[in-house]
Parts: sequence; C-alpha cells; structure tokens
Amino acid sequence: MVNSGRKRVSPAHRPWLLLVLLLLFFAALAWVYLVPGSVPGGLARQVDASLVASGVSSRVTAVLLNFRAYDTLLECFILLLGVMVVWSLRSAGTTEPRQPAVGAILAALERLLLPLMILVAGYLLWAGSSQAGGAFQAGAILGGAGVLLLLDSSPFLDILPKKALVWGITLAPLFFLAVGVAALTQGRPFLTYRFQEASLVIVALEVAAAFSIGLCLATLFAGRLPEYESEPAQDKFAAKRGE
Amino acid sequence: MNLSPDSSAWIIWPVVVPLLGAVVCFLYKKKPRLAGHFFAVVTCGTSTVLGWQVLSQGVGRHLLGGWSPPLGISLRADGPAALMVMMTAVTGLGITLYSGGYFQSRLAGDSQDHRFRAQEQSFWPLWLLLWAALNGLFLSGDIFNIYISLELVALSSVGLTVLSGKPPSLVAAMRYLLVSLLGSLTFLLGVGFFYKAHGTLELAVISKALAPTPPVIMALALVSVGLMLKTALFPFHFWLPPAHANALAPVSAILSALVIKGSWYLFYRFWQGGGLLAAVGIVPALLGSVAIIWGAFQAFSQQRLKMLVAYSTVAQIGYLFVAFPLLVDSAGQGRDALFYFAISHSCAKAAMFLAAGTFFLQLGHDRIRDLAGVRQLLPVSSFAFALGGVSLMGLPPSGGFIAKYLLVSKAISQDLWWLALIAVVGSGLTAVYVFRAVSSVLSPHLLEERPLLVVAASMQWSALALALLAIVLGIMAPLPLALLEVT
Repeated sequence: MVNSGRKRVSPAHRPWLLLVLLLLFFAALAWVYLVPGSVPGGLARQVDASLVASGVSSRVTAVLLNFRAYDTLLECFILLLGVMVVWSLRSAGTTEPRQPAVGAILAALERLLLPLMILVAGYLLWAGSSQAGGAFQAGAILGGAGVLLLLDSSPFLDILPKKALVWGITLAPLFFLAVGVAALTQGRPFLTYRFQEASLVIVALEVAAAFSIGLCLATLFAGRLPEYESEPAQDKFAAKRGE
Repeated sequence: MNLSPDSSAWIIWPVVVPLLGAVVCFLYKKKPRLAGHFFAVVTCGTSTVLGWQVLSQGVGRHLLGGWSPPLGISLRADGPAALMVMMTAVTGLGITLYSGGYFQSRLAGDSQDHRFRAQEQSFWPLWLLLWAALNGLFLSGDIFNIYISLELVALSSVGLTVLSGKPPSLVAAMRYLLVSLLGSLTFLLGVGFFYKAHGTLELAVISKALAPTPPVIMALALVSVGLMLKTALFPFHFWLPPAHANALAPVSAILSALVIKGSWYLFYRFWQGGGLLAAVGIVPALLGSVAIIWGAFQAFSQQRLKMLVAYSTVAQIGYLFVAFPLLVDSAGQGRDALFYFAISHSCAKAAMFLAAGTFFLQLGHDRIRDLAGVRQLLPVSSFAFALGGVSLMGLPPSGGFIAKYLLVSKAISQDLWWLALIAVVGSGLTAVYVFRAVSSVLSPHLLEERPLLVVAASMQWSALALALLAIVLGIMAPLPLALLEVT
C-alpha cells in the first residue's frame, strides 16, 4: 500500500455503511419475495406430465439431460472454456509448477479414499436416472479424487499422454454436439432423442459428462499445462517490448 | 414427444458450427489459423442463410430437444436477432481475416515465436467460442439459457483480454472478470424473480407481460442493472477503457464491436414490450446522455490512440441507450435508430481498433503525438481509421448518419427536443476527438522511426473493408431496415 498522506474516504473504509446498504437490499429482496400474487408452482406439474416420455424417472435428470439438454451442453462448454483460459495464461507467464506436499497421512488417506470415491462416483452416476445424483455430482467427486492425487506426489496429469488428456476434456462437449447433430441429420430438432433410445443416450451422455467434468476440475486445480516443464523459460522482459 | 412443425434447422447452425470450430481448434494445435479461418467462413455462411431465411420466410423457431416452451428451450430468429447475427458474422469475418495476418506478421517478425504461437493457439478456440456464445445469446428465447450464454461470452472475453500478457491487461482483465461476474449474478437473481412472478422462463412471454407488481419491478431492475454493468453504460463504464485498450489488436476490436452489443441487445429484449418504458425509459436515456458527453471529453484528453478509441466506445454506448424513450411508440423508428447505431458502430469501431492495432504493431507505440506520418507507412490503415471516424461522427452518407437522422427526426416528432440536441452535440464532440486523432495520423510529417516489422496486407485491407462497410451501410439502409421489420 502507498502511504500518500491523502485521506481517502471510500465505502471500504466504512464497513458499517456497506453493511447497512446490503441489509436494506436484502430486506427489499425478502419483502418482494414474500409478497403474494405470483404464479405458484412453476413448471413442476409440466415436468411431471412429460416425465414418462423423457426416458428417465428422475425429474432433475429429465430436466438437465432431456428437457433442457441445450443448457447442459453449454455448461459443458463453460468447463472446457475454463480449462482453455487457464492454459492460455501460460503465455502471460504467471503459472509456476506446484510443489507437491507429500505426507504419510495424505498417502494413507489417499489409499483409503480413492477407491471409495471412484465407487461413489459410479454409484451417483447410476443413481441419477431414478433419484438424486447424476453427471455433475459424480464429476465433482471424480474431480475431488483427481485433486487428492495431485496433492500427493502422483502427477497423473503429467504421466497421462497429452493427447489423451485433451480428448478426455473435450469428450463431453463433442459427444453432446454429435448427439445434437445426429438428430438434425435425421430431420429432428437439435438434441432430440428417439423415445426408444432416450434412456440409453441419457446414460451415455451422463457417463461422458461425469468423466469430462472430473478431468476438467482436476486440470483446473493443477492450473497449468502438463507439458510446462519441457518448454523454454519465459522471457521476463518480453511483455515490455511487444503487445 | 411434442414435435412441432415449426422447427427450422437453419437457426441452430450459426451456434453449432463455431462451437465445433472451437473444439477443433483446441484439439488441432498444429494449424489453428487454418481451422479458425475455415470455421469462421462456414459460420459466416450459415449466418447469411439465417438472415436470408428470416427475410424471405419470416420469424423462425427451433424447439430444442423437440420440447416446446415453457418446458423446453426454444431458439427464435426474428428480424432484430437475425440482424445481430449478421452483424457478428460480417464484423467477425473481417476480424478473423485481420487476426490471421496479425499472428502471421508477429510470428514472422520476432524471434520470440514460442510466446506468439501460444497466444495464437489460445486465441482461435476462445474467439470461436465467443462467436458461438454471442449467436446463442441473440437467438435464445429462454432467459436462463441467456444467462448461460452471457457467462460463456464473459469468460471467453476475459480469456481473450488476458492473452496479451502485459501487466496492465492482467489487471484490467481481473477487474473485467469481477464486474462481469457481478453483472451475471445480478442478472441471475432477476431471472429468479421473473420465474417466481410468471412461472416460465420464456422471454417472449415475460417481456410482453411486464406488469408493475413488486416481483416484476425487482426482477426488471436487477436484470437491467446487471446488463448495464456488462454493457458499461455511464456510471459502470470504469472497467471498459483499460480492458479494451490493453488487449491484443483483434481482441480490442472483438470486445468493442461485438461483446458490448450482446448485453445491450438483451437490455433491448427485456424492455421492448414497452409497458414500463413510458415511466422509466428516461433513466437509460439520461445515463446515455451523460455517457455521450463524458466519454467524448475523456476520449479527447487521452494520450494513447487505443485509449482514445476505447473511450469513444464509452461515448457511443451512450447512443445505444438514449433512444430508449423513443421505443414507446410502436411505429418502429426508435428501434430502427437503435439497431442502426449498433451495426454501424460495430463496423466503424472494429475498423478503427484494427487500424490502431496495426499502427501499434508497426511503430511499437500508439502515442497520438508521435503518430504523425504513419500514413506513409500504412496508407490503407490510415484511410480506414479516418473512414471509421466519419461514420462515428455521423457524416452522410455513412451508417452513423442514418442512425442519427432516424434518432433526431423521431425525437423531434415526439417533442423530445433535448434528446435531439444531445445527439447533435454528441456528434460535434465526436468530431473534435476524431479530428484530433485523424489529424495526427494523416499529417504530412515525415516519420523518424523505423517500422518494427512487415505488416501483412490482410491486416490493412480487412480494416478498410469494415470501414467502407460502415459508410456503405448508409446507402444500403433499406436492406437492414427491411430485416428489422420481421417480428
């Protein structure tokens, strides 16, 4: 911080003022929320009415992977985008290889938890078609397993062939696009499933999504390109010379 | 399944093609420039098909997954949406051609090709993903889906901003990210209130039924503030100039010409119903007026050309909002004025940023004082910069002139004299700062500095093509206006 002697009064220096404003805002939100006169129920009834045709018996899964599958497709692209942006930061020269913290407790924990995590992820994925669960939950647990591995000295992202990693990350977005375009080529709207195939396609999409989400999350945690070490060092003065 | 006959496949292609292109560019690192050009051209083609279909067959709908709203998501291509998709296609193609030349010149001219190669490898997938997200935003008929598209637009824009790697651009990109996130979350809160009030997420239903009940007012206020943050309307403009000015040359053009228009277009979509405009339409108009004056003064006092052009964007965003009180009347001239500002600004601003980026690349700086004589080195770019300025000022026969003519005549017919006055005064102020830059660029001084590298011809000519288009838009006005009529 610069000690310039100038006394600047900003909201950050008056936390109570900020607090009062925020409380007023939340009071307004709460009042509006509690005011009667809105349409009750939302879309729950329509979801229930179409559930039979969706191919799965879980409402959430039906919404995520059938009724609003386009949203989920774009969400997959957001995760891919996250990886793209983090990897592009290497041209800004801000990433450093992470020093792994190796410890006996971590290693033991890993040995205990990893198989369990993979099992739980698989179960959640399967359970998603009939109850709470599904690709995002399973993907989050797989991502957690990946983080655990990275915390220990097992740099599996570096061992993995670069091609496999990149294809794994793009698996879900590509598969989603393929399913969508396949429907288009058969004269149906984008991402429409035939009724007989709906449950099969949804489970396949969920498996692909869970795999890609887990890999994306672990890659984001690693925060750098695996091939980083093999590249020439950055020129620290490069940024000053050119754009 | 509720298969509906009105599911036109041509609507989805301008979203699917660049999405696929982004993945291909991400996977195929060897020749990302080739893949990028290919997918940009195909996207442009599918967008043209969309524009032509809307013009000849009227509004098109695509029910995604075969589910009709409110259960599913629909894409809806009407006149304004098709015009924005076309604007993105044409400007985007120009910027793509420029980017090809830009990276080629930098790779050829500098020994540091590892860094530039990494920049280019990241640029193409991010740019195509941004393009897909913008098209998705323009065509979407579902407000939650719009939120996801907004997030895609914001994240890819931040990723592009950060590419240059300069410390100022990192700081600016971080601020841009935080502001953008705040805007997205405010928007999402508004979406929640809309869902509570109407029980649906369909934009067409919501914007038609804007009743002044507390949840709707709260929702509309939240959505509007979120979008104004993202569009950088006057009090929220602070993040824009450093982010736009410090990015790579093609990225500056993308951010200023296209990204800003995405959130502005949504603002129009939410307010187009007109029910509440009579009461509060004056608010965006007043903020826009301040933006016009303030942005022009700031632009005039800048020392760097790219900062001047960035502050000019702040001023021109003002024009995108001053015409909102004119939307109350259903005659459509207010809407025509708004969209004409958007498309002519898109071409003109892209041309100016691309030309300014070429100057920077050739000279290694963009200090306005020291630009004198650059026209000998880069005659085509200098001409493009000046032509872009002509459209910004609103001189006939440019697209900017048509926009201002529509705005002023409509304002006078509605007895909003102050609005007409602001538009004219704004033109004068624009002329002042544009002349300041152009007089330096076109001055007959001899340049003392030696050029840093050879600039590819496509960099000069793509900027000129966009600048010429900004002028020609004034002559071919009937075509875009006919497209806008399709609603």
